[in-house]
Amino acid sequence: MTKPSVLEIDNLQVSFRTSGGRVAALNGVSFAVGQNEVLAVLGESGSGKSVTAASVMGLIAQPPGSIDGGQIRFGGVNLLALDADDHRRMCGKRVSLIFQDALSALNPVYPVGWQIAEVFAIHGMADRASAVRHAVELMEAVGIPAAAERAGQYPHQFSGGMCQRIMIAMAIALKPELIIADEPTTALDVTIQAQIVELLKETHAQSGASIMLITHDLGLVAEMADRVVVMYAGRVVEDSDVYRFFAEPLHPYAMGLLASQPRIDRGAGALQPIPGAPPNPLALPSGCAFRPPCPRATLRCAEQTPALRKLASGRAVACHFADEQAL
Amino acid sequence: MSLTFFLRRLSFSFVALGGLMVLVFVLVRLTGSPVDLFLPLDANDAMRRALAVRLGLEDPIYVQFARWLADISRLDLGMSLWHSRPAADVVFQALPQTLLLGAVVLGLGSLAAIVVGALAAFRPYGAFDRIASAASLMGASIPDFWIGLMGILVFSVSLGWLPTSGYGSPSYWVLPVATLFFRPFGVLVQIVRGAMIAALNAPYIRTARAKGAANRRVIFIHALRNALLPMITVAGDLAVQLAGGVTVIETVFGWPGIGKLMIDAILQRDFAVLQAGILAVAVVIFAINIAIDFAYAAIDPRVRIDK
Repeated sequence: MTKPSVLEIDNLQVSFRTSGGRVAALNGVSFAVGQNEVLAVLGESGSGKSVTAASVMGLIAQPPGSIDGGQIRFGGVNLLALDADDHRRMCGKRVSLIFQDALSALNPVYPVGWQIAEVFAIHGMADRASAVRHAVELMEAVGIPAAAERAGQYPHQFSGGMCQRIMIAMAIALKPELIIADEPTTALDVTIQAQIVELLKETHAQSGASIMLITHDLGLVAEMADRVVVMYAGRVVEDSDVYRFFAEPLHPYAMGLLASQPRIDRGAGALQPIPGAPPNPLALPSGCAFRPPCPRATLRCAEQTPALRKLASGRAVACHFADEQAL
Repeated sequence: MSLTFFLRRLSFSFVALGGLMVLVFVLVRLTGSPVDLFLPLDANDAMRRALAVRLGLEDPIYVQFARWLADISRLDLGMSLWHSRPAADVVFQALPQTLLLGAVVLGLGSLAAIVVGALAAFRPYGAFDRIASAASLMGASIPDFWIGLMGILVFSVSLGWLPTSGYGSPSYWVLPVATLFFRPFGVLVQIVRGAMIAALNAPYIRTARAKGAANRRVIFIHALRNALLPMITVAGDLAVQLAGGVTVIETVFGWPGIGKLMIDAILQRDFAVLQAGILAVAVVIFAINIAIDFAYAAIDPRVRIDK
């Protein structure tokens, strides 16, 4: 990577106490988000992408959660070494979060304008009157018509797409260096998804903020991302620029993902699903977690967990056999 | 909450009130005639007849009802047979004692329940939560007359700190308030705790934290207002129960409230007092329900009916 990083996650380990025992959600996750970069974090449910985001935002409830090791460096500072108040003061200001289901992510009993203006109030960035004025300006900026009147309305009076616009307004209010978007389009209709993607791209272009885009939508990755980090069972298995990722995925899981996408140029019957079920986090297989469904698995995969290795091409992959593929 | 909504509620309430009054009017007359209670045992039929005629009890019941309605329209609720005073005076002397007692009990109970419930919800299944949950369940389950009697036994009889019964200086309030406190407190702690746990796990709480809001702000501004809605429903229910008079407790402590008055009026066949009392309590309950609706609309924009 050539650009300096905004966020560097280094060997992050997070686990949760459950009734079935301690579950490791993240088993040493490492990746970085470069300045002005859109990084997609791709993975299935339970792969640890949202836990990663929550760790950055200090949203892991401890207990039942526990951060067992690693570092999250943001602007050179290890967030995990900060005390809770200092960490909190960065959230919303220097790094912000956009949630999946915006309607339920907004507080139902406060007007949306108030909720946007609250960001300024929390961080002492503006007095009451100018915070409200900024809120209306932000609502205009994210494309909400009649923003001045609508600022006094409540979340239930807005559509899902409009609520997501309000979330985005909140996230960009204090011009953060990093915006984490946790499946920002999953809860929306397809046409609205396209509008929100457009808005996110505009926001990125205008603000220059880095975006960490958490998703399982390959289409969204292709549309927005500069680089892709693929997660599987709480580990990063591939880290690649977006063009080469789609052209030539390195990790067998990433290959499986791309092969299981419907493609109009391949015709019917060409879908190749990944066999088996997602791994049970309470009973991960020894070695590589993707070993059971992997077509290339050998005895070595069971004995030795493959580390995330940087290849000469600048990409990284966690598979014993990836060298052969990386031409 | 618009005026039309208020008027609609008001008119519904009048219909309900009308039905209630017909029912009460008929039912109290089924309990028997006051004539037997008021005349000596050796009174003859002529004397009984004379009193019944004087009280208007010989007329057909619809005539009596019409007369009562006509009196009400002149704001005359009739004379109390037993007290020989206007029934309205008797009722309005007793009602404030009950309402005041209920307001103090519910006010203290709600405040304590919000604090205890919110703290318990902050760390579910933590030490404080376990103690608070057990205590509140116990408080909600122990019969209040038993608490009252035990209170009298310990604090009035054994220790002599508090009067056993009656109405007067603040010391007379301690035992009745303490006795009645436990049930609303216990019920409301459970409600607030549950509602706060739900609210604190809601996605909008994550949003508030992601915005950088401190714990205090998250709990008291973002979560509590959402958690208050179920509490208001239940507190309204408790208020209605208290407004009708806490007959047993008023009897145990000799509290001159509406509950005791009504029981006495039934026993004394004091029709005018009974009718006036029920009418007054019904109006209070109507007012409580309106207040709950207003509180709901004030807290939750989603239940505001008209813009």
